[in-house]
Amino acid sequence: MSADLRTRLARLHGRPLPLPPGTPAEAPRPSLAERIARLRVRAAEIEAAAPTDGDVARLVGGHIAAPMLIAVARSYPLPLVHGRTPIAGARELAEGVRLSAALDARPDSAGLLFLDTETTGLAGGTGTLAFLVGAARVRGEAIEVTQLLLTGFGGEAALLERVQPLLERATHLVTFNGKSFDLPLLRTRARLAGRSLAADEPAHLDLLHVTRRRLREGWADCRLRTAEEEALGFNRKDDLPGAEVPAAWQRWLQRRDPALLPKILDHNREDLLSLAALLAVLAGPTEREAPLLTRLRSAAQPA
Amino acid sequence: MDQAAGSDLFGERVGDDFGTFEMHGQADADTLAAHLGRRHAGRIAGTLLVPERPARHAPFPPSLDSRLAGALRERGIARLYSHQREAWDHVAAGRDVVVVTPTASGKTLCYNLPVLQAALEGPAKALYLFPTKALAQDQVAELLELNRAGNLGVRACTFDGDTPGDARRAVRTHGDIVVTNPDMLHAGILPHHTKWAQFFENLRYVVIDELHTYRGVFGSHVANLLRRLARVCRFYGTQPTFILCSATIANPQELAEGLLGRPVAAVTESGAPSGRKHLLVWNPPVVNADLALRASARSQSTKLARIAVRLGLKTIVFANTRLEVEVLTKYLKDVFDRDTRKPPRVAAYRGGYLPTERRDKEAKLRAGRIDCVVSTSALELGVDIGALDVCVLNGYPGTVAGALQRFGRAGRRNRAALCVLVCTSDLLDQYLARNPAFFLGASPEHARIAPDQLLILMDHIRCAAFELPFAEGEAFGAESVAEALGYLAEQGVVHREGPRWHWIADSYPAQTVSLRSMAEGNFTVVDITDGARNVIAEVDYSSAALTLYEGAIYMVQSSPWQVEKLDWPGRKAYVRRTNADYYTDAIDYTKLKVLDRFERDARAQSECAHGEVHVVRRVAGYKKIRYYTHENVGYGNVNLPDQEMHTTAVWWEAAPAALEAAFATRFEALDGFLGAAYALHHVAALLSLAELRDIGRAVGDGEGEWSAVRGPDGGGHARGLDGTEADIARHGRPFRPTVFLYDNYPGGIGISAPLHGLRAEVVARAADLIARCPCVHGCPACVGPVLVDRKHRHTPKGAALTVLALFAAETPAEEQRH
Repeated sequence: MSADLRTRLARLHGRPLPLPPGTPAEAPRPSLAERIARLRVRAAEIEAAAPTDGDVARLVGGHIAAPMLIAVARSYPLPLVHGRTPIAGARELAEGVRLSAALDARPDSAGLLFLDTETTGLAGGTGTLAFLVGAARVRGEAIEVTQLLLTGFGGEAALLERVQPLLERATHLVTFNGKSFDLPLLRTRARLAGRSLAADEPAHLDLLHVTRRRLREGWADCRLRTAEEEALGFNRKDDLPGAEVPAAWQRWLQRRDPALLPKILDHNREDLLSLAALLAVLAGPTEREAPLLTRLRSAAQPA
Repeated sequence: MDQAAGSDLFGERVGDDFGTFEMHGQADADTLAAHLGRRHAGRIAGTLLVPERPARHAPFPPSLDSRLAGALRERGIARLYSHQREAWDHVAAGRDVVVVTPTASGKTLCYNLPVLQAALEGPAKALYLFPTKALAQDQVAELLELNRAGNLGVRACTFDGDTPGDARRAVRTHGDIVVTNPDMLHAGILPHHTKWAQFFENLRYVVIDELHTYRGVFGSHVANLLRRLARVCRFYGTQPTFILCSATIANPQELAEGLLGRPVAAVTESGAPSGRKHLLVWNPPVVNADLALRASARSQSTKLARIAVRLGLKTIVFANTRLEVEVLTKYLKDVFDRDTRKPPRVAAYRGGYLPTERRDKEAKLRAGRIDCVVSTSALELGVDIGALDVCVLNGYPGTVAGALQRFGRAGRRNRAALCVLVCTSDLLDQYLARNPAFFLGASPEHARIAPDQLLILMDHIRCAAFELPFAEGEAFGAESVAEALGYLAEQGVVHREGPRWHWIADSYPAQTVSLRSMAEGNFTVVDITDGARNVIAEVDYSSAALTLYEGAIYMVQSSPWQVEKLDWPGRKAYVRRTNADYYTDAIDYTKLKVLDRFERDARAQSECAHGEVHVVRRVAGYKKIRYYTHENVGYGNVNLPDQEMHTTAVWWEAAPAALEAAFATRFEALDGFLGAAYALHHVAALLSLAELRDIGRAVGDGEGEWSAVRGPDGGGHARGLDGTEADIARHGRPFRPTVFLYDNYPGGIGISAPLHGLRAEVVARAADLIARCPCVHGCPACVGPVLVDRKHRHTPKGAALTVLALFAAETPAEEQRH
């Protein structure tokens, strides 16, 4: 007696019940091997009709950086409106870093790197893939966003290769929950690919902690979305919710349906801009701190 | 069996019949054994004297680092035992090795020495696996002692659920020896192996202690866990040597090789010295001949412990439940610790106590300040408590191996020791009382695992896919991984790209796989009395329908709770304390249908086969039974899903002609089958290393038309699956009752096949058990609780023996049966 895998597993779970003797048999179910063969044929058909990397690049407004890796670049001149208070300029961003990281001197805005990843899950560990790495830098009086999107696992080595110099050249890394999630994940992915993430990593400012300390009072939670709405007054329109992003990429991976890929990139871009805007807000006294600051200043005035 | 504390079943006062002792002051175990043999010969069912064994030494290995040698000398060790040197030599030659020696034989040096040596020579790291946190902590303490004694600078740390977050990073990057348990390795380390890159890159040794605990379902999971570990090590380019330690079981090398999937060298002769050991099997005296009722084991254990302590002998009493521990402790404290101003001489020890309390008692035991400790199996494993003089087992712990482990607690270097197994009235205990040679001379049981059990294997293939992508053509266990991965791809959990299979689900598979259960998931019992929500017990899936239906009285350590709500999909039972004066007993019907015969032994009067069966178990309702009077005080309905599974089984059926000749009515035959099944079930559990609940038993007709149960009147009834009485008496319909013993786990766990091989012995021992039971008609110690029907020609005992005689008949089949 040898039954194929699926039948054996189904039996072990008690489904389906064997038919009592005498009942007419249904059409025999195909064996697992047959079904996998059919699946492979179907997969090959899908692949043959699938959009190419070039198609995807055009769809998302980027270019092919390497096989299975698409790069998308955008530039946002400052001042930039992203909520009720615009981001004034590069200096404001640098000042935000100085205050939040309690530095002695204001850093050079050119050394700031904003980072946010999109992944296949939140579990972390070796089974989670970062399929999109979004990075933003300050170039003069503009924010330049570079997004690296995988169209398959095969592009990961090239992605990591491009992330490495970004980290090595930056002086300050700014993320939201990156200390617990994004960076450990990227280090894991690098190690699995047999490389190190970067020769050395820049100082890391995780705005989740700063936001919690200085802004959070009265909020329901401390998610980036909440911080956007409360601190920035920024309400996204037509956004693909973060929880649906993994499934949207999987639709591409398994069914070759690229329709939601642009929305993933939009979502990630908004995350990065919110990160910058948050930093700008943190460059000055918050609503809560302002009155205290005024009182301190007047107390320090000579009589 | 035991009634109110302080007196036995029939009012025997504790302390009256052991008489006064002629000797005063100290005496040794030899004297005590002799005294017991003289005065109570009637209660001693069997004895064995294990002669003393001198030490066999070996010098330190020449390559042993001088710092390590210095550390050993500082701890008073100038030479090794032969088995420690043998282990060292195997490991030095790069061979995986399993060391099989009894407790307190210095087995930890078998692995600590090679590991510390390597750590001193370079960046060689080691992973230690222990089944419990307590043992892990003890080991680290031991290593730190050696480290300190020789100023070795080796960092040993535990890594488990209790390790705080910031400490975890330090362990991962700086730990030389990481001590953990299989559950942590499974869910906390392997799925995050990149964080342990430095550790795995330098991993030289993996040490697994208490190997014999990795049997059955747990062992099958651990075998797969080790396959995943091997995969991860390959990724980092290492191939560590495994050093394993096992207690005495029949097949340690086979178990080790099954767990590792490759040949393992074995060191089986211990060089440690041991004093003379007297082993006794003690059966309490009969106090009611008709009912074959004996005095309680508890009374006997208490008396034995009292006498031993009065003689100045350090004693340990093992009990099978926490409640028994508390009661025995109370009895003994009533005698020895009356004056609360003095330090206590008697202590209880069990898992429920706080770790600090347990450490304190262990230290006092080691220092000899406690005269008698009463414990559950918590003290069976390697925790160091020094050596004792007398060990009393209050009831058979269920396996010979377990009993020997416990006996191992008694016995010091140059002194005699006494070990007594006190039998309860349970069937297995009484079987041993009647067959003491089986226990005293027995080789302990075989430990069995089934690492390629399909459900378990699939769980671990999922976890492995999360850890590292699978490559085309990669092997994992005996199953074709390609098929398994194809199945997972169909489920959307992995994605194939080129020659590799990547994990893409957003779930974390290790979290949903428990190493101690199969597929369906255990139930937790949650106490909601007074608004609390405490987990008080865990029940495995196959027992849940029988014990956790709404309205059931669920006992934890003899305290009753009533199940108020059962959340079947959520796997939770909510219970509340109750004062009900009854207990509940589920009425369940098990229907078995034979799907396939693998092997068959057909004779003229019966046949015994082994194969695959489909089992459907339905709990139709339950009876409420008042305590003490055993009256039926009500019924309740149960509405739970049927439990179905496919598994392997061994079964016996008798030829219709032979049955007709032997029994006047079909009902009598049914009675016989039920009694025979009861005895066969217990004997089968004894002969495999199986607990009773690992094997299911059922009497049915093989086509699944009806199944037999003992009704509330104690008589046998045949029921169709809808619960109504099946009409078996009607002639013209074939009557083929069959006794089934099946693996109580979906897919089987490897019990049925060997059992089929032992069928002649199983039947013979079952018949022997029934024949030699001193009861008249039948009792729970041989055929189960029965009612005597005067209309029947046979008593239940007689009927069962008749059926077993048919199974044992040697006449070869003359004609082909279907």
